[in-house]
Amino acid sequence: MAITIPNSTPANFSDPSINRYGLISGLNIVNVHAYDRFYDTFGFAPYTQLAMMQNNFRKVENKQFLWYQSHGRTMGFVTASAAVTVANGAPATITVGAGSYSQSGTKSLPALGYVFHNSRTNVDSRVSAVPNKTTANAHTFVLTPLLAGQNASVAIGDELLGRGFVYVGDQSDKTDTIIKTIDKYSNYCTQLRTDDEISDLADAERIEFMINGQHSYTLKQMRDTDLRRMFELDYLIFEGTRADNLPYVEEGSNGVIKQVQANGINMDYTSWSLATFATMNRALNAVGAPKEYDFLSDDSAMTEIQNSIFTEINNGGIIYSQPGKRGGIDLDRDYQSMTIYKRKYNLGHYGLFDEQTTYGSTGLGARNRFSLLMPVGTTSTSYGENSPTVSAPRLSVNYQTPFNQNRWHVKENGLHSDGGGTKAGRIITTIGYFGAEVIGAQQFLIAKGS
Amino acid sequence: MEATTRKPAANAATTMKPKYEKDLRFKLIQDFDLIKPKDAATGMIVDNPYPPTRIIASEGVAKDAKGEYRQWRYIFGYKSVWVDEQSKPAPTKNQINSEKNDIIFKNGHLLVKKADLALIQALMLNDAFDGNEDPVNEIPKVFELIDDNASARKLRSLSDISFAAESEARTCSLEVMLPIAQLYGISTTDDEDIIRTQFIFQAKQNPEKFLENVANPKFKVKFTITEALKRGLINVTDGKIVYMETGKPLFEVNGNGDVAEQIARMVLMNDDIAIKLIEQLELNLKG
Repeated sequence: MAITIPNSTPANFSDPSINRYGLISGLNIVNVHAYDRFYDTFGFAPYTQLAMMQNNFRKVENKQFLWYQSHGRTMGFVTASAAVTVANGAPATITVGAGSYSQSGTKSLPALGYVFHNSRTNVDSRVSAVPNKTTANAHTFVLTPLLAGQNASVAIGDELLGRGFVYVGDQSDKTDTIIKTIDKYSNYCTQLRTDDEISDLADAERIEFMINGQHSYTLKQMRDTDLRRMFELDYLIFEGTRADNLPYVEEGSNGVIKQVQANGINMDYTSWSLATFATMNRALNAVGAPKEYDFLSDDSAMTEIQNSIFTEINNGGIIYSQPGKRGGIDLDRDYQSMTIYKRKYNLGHYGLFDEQTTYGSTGLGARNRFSLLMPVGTTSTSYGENSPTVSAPRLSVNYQTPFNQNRWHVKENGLHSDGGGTKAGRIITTIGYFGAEVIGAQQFLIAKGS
Repeated sequence: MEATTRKPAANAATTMKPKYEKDLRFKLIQDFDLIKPKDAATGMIVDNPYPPTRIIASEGVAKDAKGEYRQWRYIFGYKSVWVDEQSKPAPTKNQINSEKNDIIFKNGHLLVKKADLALIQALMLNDAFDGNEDPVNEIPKVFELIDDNASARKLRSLSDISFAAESEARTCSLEVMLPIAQLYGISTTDDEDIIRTQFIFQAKQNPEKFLENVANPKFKVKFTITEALKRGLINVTDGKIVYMETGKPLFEVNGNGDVAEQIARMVLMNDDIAIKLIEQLELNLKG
């Protein structure tokens, strides 16, 4: 495999027969310069770093951080748990269906005088009595149609949309206060640590090629670690999970994907087509989603999405002529973005979802034909006393700085460092504390091909 | 047997179109208790542990009655879900893109009308359906059919367990109660009434676990050791348990670890000396 753990004295360079200048053969003297270049074959554009460059990060005071969101919409509705059939104009006693309660089944919307509109039958009815609001998850209320010629009957699952306390009459009395539920979300910052132990001899051993103009092994090791840490941070932010089986006290941290799986839109599809765009768009509209999304896909998903667009656009959307070009044109059939049904999708390939790309392994894995759609832009919030409303990113990379250190705390130890210690060498420790805060996960979407 | 409670055989949907007596209810399998938001006022989970919107594929490939791969697609209004049987007339683009074809679990649940046989068949052909025992793709199961009778049985069983736990908590002897009370962090030096009240509360919180704990002999041993240590009947000296009355070191323990846990394990592994020690300590504590 490409890397080994632990990374101690660099084994690859410790065998003198390989690269010590003193032991090179005559032939090597001739062609040694053929070996002095080093190529980093695989790169990576970390989304987390890009997000942080856009100021989408926040320092939090506590390991566990909280945020609050309004629950559901401004207007509320309940469902009917079972069918009730009554005559025209007659009252119907209805039990509130599952999913229409809050606070462990103790609260529900119906209140005396409240008017509900049956979405299926188009009949408006008034709550004429509330016989039971004390038994958890079994609240009942009586609906009487506003028109004597209409019928308050309901079928199982009927959605009864609240229209408010209307038509309350002369000298009406105080009505019940409708309190909108506030949802409390939480997540944790967790640790990401790397230690690089580089012995004095490893540093003294000149490697043949140069990194940033130096033959130092330390520079190469640090560069490798930096790159790996970027991957690891992206994995933590996107794929992180809560842990309950570690041999020490540590909660772990829920990544973006876990949070969207729990609280967002999750969509399966078999083959991506215009119909899939339509289905996705309807689901996004239903949650009042914003009009622009970053569409991060693995390679397979990106290919099938590009292909589906290609087959939909007249002539495949190919640009056939470019002024000033002679001897042929550059054919481009890739789509950077697409606006469809009034929503823009910035189509991107995200290497992290490709195991083969990221690891060089052979499997396709759970992130094959996988896309994560993240809203672009900000939402508004306010914090602190007398503070104004400010913009907040939809994905915030939260971090902590224990002991008021930097976001990435770097410390050196060992005889050849300023950090103290007697062992000849340097131990470079880097540690950071990160966690993902997903604002309005309801409007994030995961699409998974099956 | 009711049609709604029948667990379909492997790809039963390919071979039959049963008439269902009731509307069918499906639910998602995986829940997300730990990640769901809590009510800011009460700290309780707001509604249910499922994602608010879960869209299931409305087309795919399944094995038909002959065991051959065949494409299926749910189009509202079409009697058959098999694509090759949807040609007369072929669905229009609008029909294919219609929202009526969306199969969406809202808050983890989906109610399907008993007359919508094509939708029922589409759900049961889906590789992600828990009842599809012969899927084309081995993917994690996502949803299942709710068996009303099984749900009722489960509910009654939970109710029975809850009743048994509370009865046990109300009536068990002090000797049974104290070790478990200690496990729950209840102060065992309080009046019995206070301990009993908190004990009953714990039984109601998680009845199944409570009964498990009561039945577990380990906690009684741990309680005996803890009490004996508190009262100075035994001590840990130089990494050994010493019975103070004789001053005799009995066996080695890790003094920095949970001594009661270590001895409890020895007792459960039938260590003669540990068993004898516990018997003696129980006599001492009663005395």
